[in-house]
Amino acid sequence: MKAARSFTFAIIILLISGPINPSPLLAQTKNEKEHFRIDLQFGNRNIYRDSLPNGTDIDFMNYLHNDREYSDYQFLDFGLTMAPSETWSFKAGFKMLSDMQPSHFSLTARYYADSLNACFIWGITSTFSIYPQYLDAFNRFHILTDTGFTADLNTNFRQRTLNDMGLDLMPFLSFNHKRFHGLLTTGIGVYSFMPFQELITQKKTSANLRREIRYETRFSPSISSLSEIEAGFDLIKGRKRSFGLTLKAGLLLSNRRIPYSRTTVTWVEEQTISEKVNPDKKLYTKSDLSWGIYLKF
Amino acid sequence: MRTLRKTLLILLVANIIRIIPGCCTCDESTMPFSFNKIDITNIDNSGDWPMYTDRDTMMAGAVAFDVAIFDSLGYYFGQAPAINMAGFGEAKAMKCDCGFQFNAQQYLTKINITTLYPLTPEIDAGNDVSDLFVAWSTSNSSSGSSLYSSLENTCNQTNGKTYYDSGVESFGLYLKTGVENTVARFVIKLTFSDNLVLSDTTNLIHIRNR
Repeated sequence: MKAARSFTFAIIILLISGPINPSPLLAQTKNEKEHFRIDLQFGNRNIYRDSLPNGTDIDFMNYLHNDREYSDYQFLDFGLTMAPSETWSFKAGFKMLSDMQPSHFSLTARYYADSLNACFIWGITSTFSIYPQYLDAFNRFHILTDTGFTADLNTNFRQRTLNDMGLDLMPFLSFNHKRFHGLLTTGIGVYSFMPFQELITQKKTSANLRREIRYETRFSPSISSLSEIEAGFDLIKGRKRSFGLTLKAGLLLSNRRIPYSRTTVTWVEEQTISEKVNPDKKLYTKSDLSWGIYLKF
Repeated sequence: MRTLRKTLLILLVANIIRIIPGCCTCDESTMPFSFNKIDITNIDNSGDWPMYTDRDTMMAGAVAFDVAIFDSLGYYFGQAPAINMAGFGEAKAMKCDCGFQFNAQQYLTKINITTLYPLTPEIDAGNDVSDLFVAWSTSNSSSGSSLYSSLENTCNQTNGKTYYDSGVESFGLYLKTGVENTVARFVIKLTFSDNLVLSDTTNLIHIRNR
């Protein structure tokens, strides 16, 4: 135990103090303002959408994964930020859900425009991101509405991934004072659920009639409001390296829908009816809360 | 000692070279056969998926039959080649799992179905009810679709078809209309490209509504 504590202390001292004898050449050529930051966070996410009663057409938004007791998703968030100068920084990040597969990806560019005073800097940030969520048991719509049929011959639990992709542009205000720092960002973005296809196969009870209902969703870009707040505290602050704790919250707010084409094929391929369905837009929010550690060097 | 090493090396290389092309080779030739026999089996389609049944009772909306056509000479399955054990005739890294290929010398051109009993007040005995039937291929060309195909498409897919392992063409025939009679029976007539006509009559089916 004592050895472990000594080892940890030695690592921390090494991180703070930097190389014992840095090369003079390296010191001259390296941009003094260039820095990297590694983030590791754990977070919770909740997705909220207004749920409307089922009509004659399925609304896939009604079947977004929703855990009423706990957060809808827990994730591990990894981020690598590179700031080549005082004015620009770039971040690449990915998140993993409980399956531990990298499934969220984001690329962020941040431009530090001007300082308002010694503590505050404002700028513009832009992020391209894609994140998944689940559509659960969407065949329930048919089970409820298509009486007299085996509403879905696929007896598996019908769950699929729905990816939401978007690009945002947001002004930000950055705060730095001693060991405290924070970031407040708010702006707009354009987001759309990625198209997908689903098949429902049905058979009339005690009869020969079979039919397939084929869904093919379409892009539906939607203006979204995004806000983020991030606070950090440097537990260890060195001349070139710092290590600290961070807390981050984000909110995406928009009116969304999943439009689709529905093709109903009855008996044989030749008997096909195709329709386009545009469900009403409804309120959709994604709120993230995460906390973790960072290392800046 | 050097001679022994060289010999072993040559033997090793020679056998490795023989193993590589010896992994598997299949005979691509096909065995011709003719359709000259028809067999009809009842299908219980009251559940989610069709099942063969010996019972002559069907639901009014689920009247269905499986039709199998094949060669009466018995080309059901190909004969496995004799194993050659003499010397190093064949060196195979794995068992060769090849399907035997059969090619029918004729193909289906038409399926006619005639009802022997009135189906509904509008459909009398003796009527051609082919248009009221759809098919579902159950032989090895099945597309895996959960939908039926028209009788015309079922005939077309037999043209130039290669059958693997067994020279049997089979498909289900499903009646689209609900039977409003207590019994039903059909004559199924298949016409082939060489003008051969195979015909058979289904069992007398007792219809139940529940």
